[in-house]
Amino acid sequence: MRDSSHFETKIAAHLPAAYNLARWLTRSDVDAEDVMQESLVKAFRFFDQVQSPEIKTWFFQIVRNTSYSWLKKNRNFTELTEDATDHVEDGAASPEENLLNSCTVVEIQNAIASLAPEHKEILILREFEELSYSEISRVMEIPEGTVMSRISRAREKLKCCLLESRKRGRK
Amino acid sequence: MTSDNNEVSKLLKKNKENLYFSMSAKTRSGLLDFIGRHQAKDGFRFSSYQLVAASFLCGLVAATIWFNFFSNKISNENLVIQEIVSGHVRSMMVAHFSDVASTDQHTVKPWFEGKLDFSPSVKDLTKEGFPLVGGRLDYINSRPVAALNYRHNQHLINIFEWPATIGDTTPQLTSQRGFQLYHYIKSGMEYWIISDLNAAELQRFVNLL
Repeated sequence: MRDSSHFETKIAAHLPAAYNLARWLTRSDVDAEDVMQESLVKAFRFFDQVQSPEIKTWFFQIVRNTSYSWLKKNRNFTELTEDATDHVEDGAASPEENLLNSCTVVEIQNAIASLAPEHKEILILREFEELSYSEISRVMEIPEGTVMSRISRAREKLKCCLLESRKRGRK
Repeated sequence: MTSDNNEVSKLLKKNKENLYFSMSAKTRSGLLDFIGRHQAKDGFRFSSYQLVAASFLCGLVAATIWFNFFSNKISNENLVIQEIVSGHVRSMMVAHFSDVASTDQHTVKPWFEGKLDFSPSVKDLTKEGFPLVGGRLDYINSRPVAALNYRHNQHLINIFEWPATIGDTTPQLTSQRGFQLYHYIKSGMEYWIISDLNAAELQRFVNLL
């Protein structure tokens, strides 16, 4: 038997972060809410089977998987492999940092939005939610080594997008 | 390679506040309402503490009912034993051992016809050393019953028999005021066998029934 008040207390604390993830992946407020509702139903059903310290990563995992299912169903999304998506260009020339720092919030938003979902989500989990490699590994169900390499590729990919955007803006 | 000092990492952290999709108050309350509605639909659920307390209370109630049931059963059984012993003693005291005195089972069995709402089983055990003496009506456990009378040497044996309300049981020996009593239920009939025979001889008799 489950304790419903316990569920609400434990899950409510992670709603904002989970919503942020769903919102970035679906790119829509309404769709993110749908994903959240579906995730909550799943979470409620299996809440008894998870230990308290694992709730955050467990709920992220549910939201992530539900987001992907939603994308497949509604956006004809097919999971892309890193090889297919990551054509990391060799590093842009110095002074990159100054150039990056001159990016506007809109440019950063657009650059993140243009990333493949697997890169987008790993940056959100690492940079915004500050999850450890081990926690990301559990959320994304991939080995820690892959987490590290994927974070690196995602950062490189985002950097390239931003630099290109900056260069275009200067022209 | 994955250093958080990476320029991209620093840029994202610096702009986190503007890049983070914060839930509106409306969305948050909508989701919390959704949880509430879903939980209500799923039915009320107990906390583990409530469950333990509820289990304990249920156990206590069950134990009380069980105790009362067995107390009543035991006191009722004791009452039946008293009645059996009294019936046996009375049958010997007033020389009213049998209403129908016969060693013929085909005389004794039909005698009960019309007097009881069941037909008692009557066996001829003369060859085994337990000749049938007769039968009579008695009143035990708030109902008329058949009392079949046998003899073994100078010892009298009464078999009290009536329809049972529960399933079969194996013979159980009880002693009361110097008498041995065997009790069992077989094929829907309840049997009480009482005598001043020793337990081993009475058991032999019971085994022949």
